[in-house]
Amino acid sequence: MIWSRFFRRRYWDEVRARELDAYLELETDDNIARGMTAEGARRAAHLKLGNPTLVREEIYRMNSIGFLEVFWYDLRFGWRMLVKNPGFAAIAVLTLAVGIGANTAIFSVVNATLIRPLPYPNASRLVMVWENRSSEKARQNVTSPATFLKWQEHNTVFEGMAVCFNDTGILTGGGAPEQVAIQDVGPSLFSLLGVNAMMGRVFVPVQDGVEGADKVAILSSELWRRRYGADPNILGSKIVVDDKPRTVIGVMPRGFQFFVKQQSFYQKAPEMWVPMVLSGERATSHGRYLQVVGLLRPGVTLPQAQSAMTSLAQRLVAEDPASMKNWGVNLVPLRTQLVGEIEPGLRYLQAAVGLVLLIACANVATLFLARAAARKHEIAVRMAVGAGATRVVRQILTESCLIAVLGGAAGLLLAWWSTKALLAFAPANLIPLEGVSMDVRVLVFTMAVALLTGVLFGTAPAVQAARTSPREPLNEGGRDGSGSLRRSRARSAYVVAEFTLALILLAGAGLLVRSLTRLMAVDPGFVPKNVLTGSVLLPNAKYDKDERRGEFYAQLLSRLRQLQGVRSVSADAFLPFAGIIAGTGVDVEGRPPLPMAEKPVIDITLVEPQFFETMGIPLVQGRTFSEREGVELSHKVVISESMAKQLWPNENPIGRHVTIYMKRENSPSEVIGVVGDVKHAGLDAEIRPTAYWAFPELSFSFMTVVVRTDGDPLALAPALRETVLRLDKDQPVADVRSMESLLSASMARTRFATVLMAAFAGMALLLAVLGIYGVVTYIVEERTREIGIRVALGASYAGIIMLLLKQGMRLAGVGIVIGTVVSLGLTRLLVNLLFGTRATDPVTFAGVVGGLGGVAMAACYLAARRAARVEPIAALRWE
Amino acid sequence: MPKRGAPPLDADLLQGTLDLLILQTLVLGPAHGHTIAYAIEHRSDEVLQVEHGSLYPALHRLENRGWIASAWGASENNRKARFYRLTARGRKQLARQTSRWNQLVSAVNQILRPAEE
Repeated sequence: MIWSRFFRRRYWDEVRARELDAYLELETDDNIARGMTAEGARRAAHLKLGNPTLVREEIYRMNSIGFLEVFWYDLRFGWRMLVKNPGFAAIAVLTLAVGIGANTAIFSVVNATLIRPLPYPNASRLVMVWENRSSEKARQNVTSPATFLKWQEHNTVFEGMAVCFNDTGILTGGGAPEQVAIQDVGPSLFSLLGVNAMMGRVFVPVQDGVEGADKVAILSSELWRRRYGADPNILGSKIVVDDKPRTVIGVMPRGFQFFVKQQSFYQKAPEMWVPMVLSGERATSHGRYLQVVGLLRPGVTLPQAQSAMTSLAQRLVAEDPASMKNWGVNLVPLRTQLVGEIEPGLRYLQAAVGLVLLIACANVATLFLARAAARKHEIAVRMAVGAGATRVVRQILTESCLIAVLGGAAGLLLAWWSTKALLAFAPANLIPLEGVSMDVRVLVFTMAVALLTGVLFGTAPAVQAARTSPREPLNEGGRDGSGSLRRSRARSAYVVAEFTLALILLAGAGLLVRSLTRLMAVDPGFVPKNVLTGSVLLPNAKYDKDERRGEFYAQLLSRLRQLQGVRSVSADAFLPFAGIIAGTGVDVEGRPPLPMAEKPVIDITLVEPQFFETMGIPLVQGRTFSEREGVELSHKVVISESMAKQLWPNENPIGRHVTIYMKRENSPSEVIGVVGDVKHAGLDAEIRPTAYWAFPELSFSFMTVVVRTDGDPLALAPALRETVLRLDKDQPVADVRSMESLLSASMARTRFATVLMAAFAGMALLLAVLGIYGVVTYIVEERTREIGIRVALGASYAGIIMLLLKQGMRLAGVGIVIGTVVSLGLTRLLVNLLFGTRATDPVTFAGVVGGLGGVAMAACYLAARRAARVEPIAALRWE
Repeated sequence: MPKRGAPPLDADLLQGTLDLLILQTLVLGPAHGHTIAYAIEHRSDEVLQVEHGSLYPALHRLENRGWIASAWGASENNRKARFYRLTARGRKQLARQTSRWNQLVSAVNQILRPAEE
């Protein structure tokens, strides 16, 4: 009812107006009948009725919903004010949007990665158990089966322990052959984590963990959907893994994963689990390759567990010094393990974005304060002609709300968009992307902060203005009293704060940019352009003999060589930038053999002929492998420059012999060539001495084919797949990609952090510049009269601009100095992300300070120049 | 304007009573604003003197509440005027308000009498 009245209030106004007219006519008629003159009758009728406008107003008010009416009016007025002053509106809305949007996006990611609980019920008690060297406490080395079994048997702190090994296998049968990541796990892993299967069951130690148990497998929900079309009858059916049948006993819930990455840019999360039985021959103490996870007994703290395990490790060293000497135990809580690598970077980012929000709020506050000061006169006039104080404040409040809501809406949009952009742009293995989405709680919080700032700082000055007698500002006529001094102090504080924050962000961004340029300038040691790579893993069951594997690869390479657009072809067991490489100890011929733990350690890989030519690794000395050495065992080795320098510092290594311990029976290999060093583990990694054997030396079942092409390497990807399938219809090729993409993936983390920081720093810079420009502009406006007098008295414009510049730059300067001091402390957080750049890099700091100072100067000058336009006469006449 | 007897009452005081008087006036039959104003003025012995304009918001309020209804019609001397009539709900309301008014009057009288004696 009330609403129908509200919307029909104009109709009723008309009806009542006509009714009042009718009254006047009736009364006039009566008065004339009583004998009055026509004019007297009309006048008397009006007196009798009273003021018809007041009556109509009263009725109109009765129909309207008071606050709504005023609100609607204020809203329209506010909108007109914004449109009249689009610069102010745009800056305020944009500032709010940036603050809200960026914060929500970053906090969403931080929340999802750092704060969200791990998806395992026992997460808080799960600990990774690594081996470390006494010289490197923080090292996380995989361990050997024998060591694990001893830990499991003798420890006093774990309720249970399980091993895990990230492997790869080939799935055949039903569709194209496919290489999948498989995790070999101790059968108790799932119960340690506290997770169960979505369908079927998980492994049970007494059933699946014994020698001769049935071959079983558990599938990930993703693999089950992708390859088996979510077949509900999958349980109990047989699948073929590496040419051997396995029975599917379970499917894990969607998103389940237990994946601890180790220095790999591209390793894939496992999609299948098979039980690992460590008994008999497999319980060896050589070969460290197992990750170990333990579930702490309730009540056992990490330091207690660490000290218990350390003393256990010392006992193991005493038992078997040959393989355990210098090895200790390093416990890492699972959470730290999974987020530790990215935590400092994310924290810095979080701090950065928090600062941007602060700057944004400060800027909005400054904007509103300056605006309120400019409108003091208007408010005074409105109050002088009868506007109530509440009415004035309410109107300003509506305006502030309008801007705040517009800013909030834009912020919401930006938050939504930038969360998506962030996820799309983030390197896949930097952040666990599953389940990261815009965090609504964060959005609400950020919005509340930003909007409150707007409303508070928008309205507070209006309240102040409404409280003072309207005569004051009218009398002042632009001269300013002590109130404005307080305001100008507040504004100065904002500018100082803005410059402090901007400098901190710029310093961070500067360091990252410098680090990235240095990183990109690093020579990987080979020519990545126009090289296609693809990994070919041969199943052991089918390719059980060394000769069969050698034959397959030799045939594959020779067929690939005949393809159009191929320059040269080769293969490598451990491709640079793909993550892993084997390492082992060596003995040099003619020197006494050292115990295993003291031998020099080198990296070792297996290559096919023409590898160095195909990759563009320069030959420094000697020769590379011949075609014949590619198929026949020859005991020859090509070594890297750094290996030559380490083992034969002042001698010619060619023709010398070195024993590389990779097999049961090891015979010395003759050095036939020295090649350039390769940054195998990434551009930011150290160069390690590396040896290259020809393929027959170990005849691995996995090799990565490298193809140097004439043009775009990816154009040859289909041909590569087809060639492999023609050789063996069940043989997949995995990870087909260009060498360049591998290289760029290795830098993705740094690049990601750099771009983000640069974006934030850019925002901060923009906000700071707007801030100082606004303040100086305001000073000029405030002091127009004073400037006029000075000019009239003979001051030069240059002198006045100088004066204003000094005033502005003093604020910027203080901010810059504070910012420098603070960021010298803060950039330490970035150390993990920096390459070849110290966290206090003086060049970066000098550049940032100089740059920010210069920009501040320019902004001040542009604003101060307005003072030169002040006409002395006009300024004096202004009152 | 005629001024006899007691001084006119304050219009604010009449807020509630004015409603009652309007409803009472309309018991006799439909009437337009001009008639209602004079009727109230005369019947209250001209004690209740208000600007006739202030009657209209009251009429509007009563119509909003659904106690009276209005429509255009022709006046005695053939002028166009808006006529008000009592609705069923208005009639009930009048009964209720009259009894409440009587209660109030007698209560006030009981309090006032001893002071006068």
